[in-house]
Amino acid sequence: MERVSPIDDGTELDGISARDLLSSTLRFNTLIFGVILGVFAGASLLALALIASATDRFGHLAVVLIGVFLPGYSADGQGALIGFLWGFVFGAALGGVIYRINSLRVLSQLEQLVVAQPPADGFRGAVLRLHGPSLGTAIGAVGAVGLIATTNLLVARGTAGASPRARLLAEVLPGYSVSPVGSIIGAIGLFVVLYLFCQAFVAIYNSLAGWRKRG
Amino acid sequence: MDELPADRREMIVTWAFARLDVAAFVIASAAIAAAFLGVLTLGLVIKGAPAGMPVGPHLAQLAVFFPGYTVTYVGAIVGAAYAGAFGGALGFVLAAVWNFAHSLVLAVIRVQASLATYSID
Repeated sequence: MERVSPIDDGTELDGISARDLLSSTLRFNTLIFGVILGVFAGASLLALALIASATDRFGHLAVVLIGVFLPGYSADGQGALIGFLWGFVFGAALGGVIYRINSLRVLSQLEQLVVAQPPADGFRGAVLRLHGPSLGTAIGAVGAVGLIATTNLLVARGTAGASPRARLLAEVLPGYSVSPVGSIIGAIGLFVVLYLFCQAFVAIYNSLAGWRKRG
Repeated sequence: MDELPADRREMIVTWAFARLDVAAFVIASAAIAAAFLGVLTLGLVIKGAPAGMPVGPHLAQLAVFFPGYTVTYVGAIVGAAYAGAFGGALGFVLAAVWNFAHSLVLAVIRVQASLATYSID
């Protein structure tokens, strides 16, 4: 009985192009990231609705505002479950989009994105490094597009005036207002904020990961 | 078709299955979450409110989850500490689930590869 590790056998992958290999690995990782973010988002909406239903002090207005965009979402048991489903769908979709945008330039940055470790069982292990501009662009773009879409949905429904919570964003996003022009100005500000926070996050993560690897 | 050299293929697969450094991810998540709430609180405090109006009444509702949090200078520090703990916990879950999912798939691939290379003879 002879055992050969197919992982070490380079000929098995002959003929596979960069695009094919990258596409299949991206599909897999997009699925995982989407599911993780979907569960996070769903669980967050579920928790918010349950907390709002259990207390008068917190969450009611937020649930009502979110319910404008997510039909069926309300501060009760059934609404919380519907919120979980909506959250999972939107979270998974956003996770997929973020991961895809983040991975657009993987092939050209491959060497910078992994910290190789000694091989074990035929697999070369590695620690993932992140790329600040890609992550910042991905999350910033999703946030900005989301703000434009939700704001203009409020405007189109004619409920902009009845959304005091939405107007609160002007407190932290200068120039933002519940109007088409205000949404674009706010989206630019939000993009910049998210981009900078992502850059900071990646800088901290990559520094620590590299330091721990060297240590 | 742009065929890949073996080391390039291996690099792509290595990247696809690379693990997140959980400790680094937790610390980075905690730091960013703490900075976010701290800066947000400080921004509202510095901006202030008209006479007779409370500062940041909506953000102050976070006190329901973060006892002791207020929209004040001290509250910014308290809130940053809470947000850091919360962000770190979320970061831990995200990194751990990511690594676990990849380990699981890698284990399945290993088992399938092992079964495929054993001969019944």
